Amino acid sequence: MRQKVAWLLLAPNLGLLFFAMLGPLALLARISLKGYESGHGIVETWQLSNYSKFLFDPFYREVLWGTLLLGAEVTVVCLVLGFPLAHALSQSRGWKRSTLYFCILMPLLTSTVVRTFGWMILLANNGFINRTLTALHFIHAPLRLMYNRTGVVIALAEVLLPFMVLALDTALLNISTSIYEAARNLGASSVRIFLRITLPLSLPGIVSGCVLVFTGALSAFVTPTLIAGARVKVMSTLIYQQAMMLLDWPFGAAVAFIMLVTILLLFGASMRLSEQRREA
Amino acid sequence: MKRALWLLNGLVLLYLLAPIIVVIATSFGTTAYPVFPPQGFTLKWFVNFWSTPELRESLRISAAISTTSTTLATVIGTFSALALARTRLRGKTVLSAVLLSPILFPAIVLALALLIAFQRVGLAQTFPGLVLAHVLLTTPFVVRLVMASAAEFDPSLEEAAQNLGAGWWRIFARITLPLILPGILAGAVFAFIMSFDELVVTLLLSGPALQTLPIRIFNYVQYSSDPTISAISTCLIVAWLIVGIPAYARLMSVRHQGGA
Amino acid sequence: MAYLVLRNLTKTYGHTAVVHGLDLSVDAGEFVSLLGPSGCGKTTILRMIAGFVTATAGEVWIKDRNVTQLPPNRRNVGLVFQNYALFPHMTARANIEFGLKSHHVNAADMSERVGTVLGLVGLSSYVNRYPRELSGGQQQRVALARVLALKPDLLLFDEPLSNLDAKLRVQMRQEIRRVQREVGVTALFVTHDQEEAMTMADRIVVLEHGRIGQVGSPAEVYDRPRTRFVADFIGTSNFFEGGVMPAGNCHIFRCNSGLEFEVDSKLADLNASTVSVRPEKIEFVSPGTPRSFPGVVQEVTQLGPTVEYLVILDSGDRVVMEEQKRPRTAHRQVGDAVSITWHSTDTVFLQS
Repeated sequence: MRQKVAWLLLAPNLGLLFFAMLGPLALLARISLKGYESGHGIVETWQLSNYSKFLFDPFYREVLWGTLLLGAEVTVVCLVLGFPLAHALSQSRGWKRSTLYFCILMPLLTSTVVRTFGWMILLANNGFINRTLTALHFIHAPLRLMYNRTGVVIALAEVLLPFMVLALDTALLNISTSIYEAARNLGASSVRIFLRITLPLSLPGIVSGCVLVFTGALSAFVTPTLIAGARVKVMSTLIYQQAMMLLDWPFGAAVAFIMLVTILLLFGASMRLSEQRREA
Repeated sequence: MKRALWLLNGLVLLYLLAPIIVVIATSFGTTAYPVFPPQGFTLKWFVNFWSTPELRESLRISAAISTTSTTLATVIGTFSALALARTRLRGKTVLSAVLLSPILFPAIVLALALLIAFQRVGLAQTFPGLVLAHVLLTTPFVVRLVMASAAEFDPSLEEAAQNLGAGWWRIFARITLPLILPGILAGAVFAFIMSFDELVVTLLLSGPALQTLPIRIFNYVQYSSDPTISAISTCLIVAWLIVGIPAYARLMSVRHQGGA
Repeated sequence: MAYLVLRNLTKTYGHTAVVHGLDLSVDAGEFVSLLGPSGCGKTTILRMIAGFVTATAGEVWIKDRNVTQLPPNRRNVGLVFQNYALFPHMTARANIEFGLKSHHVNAADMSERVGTVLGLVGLSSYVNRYPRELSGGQQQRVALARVLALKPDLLLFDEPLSNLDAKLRVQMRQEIRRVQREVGVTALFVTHDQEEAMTMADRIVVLEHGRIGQVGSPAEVYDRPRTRFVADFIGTSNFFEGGVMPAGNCHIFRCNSGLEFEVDSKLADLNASTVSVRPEKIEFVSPGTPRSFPGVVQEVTQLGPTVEYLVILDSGDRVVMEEQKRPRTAHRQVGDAVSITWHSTDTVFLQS
């Protein structure tokens, strides 16, 4: 295909990205440096106060740490629950693998709102989980799973689990079975094989899975809003609040930009890591 | 040890599918609020969904937005994928990373950026504005899936066609298109589903006249608990399964057949 | 002008020249093989003729027509690909009809031609099969039929037999040659397999690093290689370095090792520093025979119908010789002291 034709074909897409993505993001950056006065609207001055407000004001600091902590918790849960499942997936073949793969992929076809709604039903004080645990005499009073961080972690981890499993599966598939056979042949126990072979060799997958889940948790909006509402403050709900209710676009934009930069840095770091490993 | 792992994996799978099972189950229960496990069996919530004008209107709006944006995304995405797969452009990797980049950005960030930009040009709370946003968000999926299809098929097929005297139109229509069709279909299906279910960006860019179905569900769910929502959700789940499985299967089968 | 003429055909990528000013003439109905190791430019030359690679310089003339600037879909040359390139979503018939439709052949002629070419390659009953239902050899034959249906001026083969197993390859060689003769179309066959080139071609073009090493019939190229590369690439050769000297009314070649042998005066090239002798031209003789050289057998290799010996001559030269197994005659053993010789006309002078 001639170069001219190729560029012509790419033009609509590139135009779309320029006008509908780059442009708006540039405007976002610009507005984050403006001021805002309630009742007056956006003030045409240049200032970094929005950023310093978010990063240094104790109230907003809490939001930042809260979001990062949420991300970390969700990532750990996904890693612990996802690794055995991914391992089983990577070992299976044929129709077993297809079915398993489909079961893991299928939740991604359902919208987050729908899945979170399901969790709202499950996590309620008289929801299925509490009623079952009470009936089995594991607890006496219902666990508070809604409107707090715990509920958000449970629901968000489920929403993001497929990404972890699929990332791990890809990495695990790269380890050829003959390596395991060689280890067995040399007398290693299952635990030893897991610690010295499986874990180190699947590290790239672990890293990429963690980055995917962590960034997904950082930017999550639907699940924290529906499960915990105003009780658990994360960056995305803060941005929404500022943008739609308080109309302080400059501040909202600053927070949004901080989130964006954090996430892009994480992606960049993980890509650099995987490149380095490939060269090594 | 192995058995314990299988049990654990079974539980994790259950955990993964739990909310979907709950939603589907509660859409048939007779109680006035969703209860799991459901009591009784009824289809009244589905009837309720269909007979509520606002919900039908939201369905119509969502369908309109998604159909329009999917058509555009499929065309734009297919063109890009073909350009990338068939040329030795310099900076091809950079280009493909750029084209796939919208997926990387957090939805809330894009949502706010688009709100600010659209407000300036009068696109906020408009149908074209929403379509534009949806096209931006879903085109990368089309590009990805069509590229996968295009990459799998042997470039010497197009050379053979040229050698046999075919002009570029005949080559595209008879050789290229049929062979990348599975990718295009999968891309279109995926784009449609992503667009229909899209919430965050749509939430910030829509107005009272453009309440899509996900927005209605989102708002409803925060203030009331009604099995009608379960019914709507079940319809969506089933619809996506019916449409998604064949597209997925077709894409997988071509992978096994290979290009030549 | 000859049927196919390549004039100063050159291809450079950046600063690297892959094909250096190639000149070649091919006559109508000839079957010519482009032979060489990978990277010698043979495929590039073929693709320049087909139009998929634009020549940096030079021209391609077919039937007195300069086709160099024509796009690949206008040259009327048929290209048979290494991996067949059959359209997987079309039956054999549809594959063949594709080209015919592109040439606007009408429906009646179309089905007649499909029948004819499939009959030519012996696959008439496979007309509605899909490529995945055909074996490798059958696919290759459909690919051939597909280009033949268009009655091309030239048939180009790009290492078409590399993906087939050995027995099938031999069978297909004969098939291709038979079909080519029957149709009478001029053909250019690219391969790295010298046996293929030797058994199929009327003439062989031996290529080395984008340049022609030698053009000639298989016999010429084998018996009278022009350069060291050709002598080494085709078959096996024994090389001797040294120089020619006149000696009375004949000439001798004195090797750097000290070994001397008489050479045919008519063939002698006084400038040559290398000569080669084919292993099968060397024979054992009784010790003391005039113009023979003593040595010791170091290795014996059974090749099936022949035996290969590595003999170290007293002069230090290593000589490989090949001998047909003869009935009721035992072969030599490792360690045997022997004498060898060869006919002076079998010493080939190589150009540097």
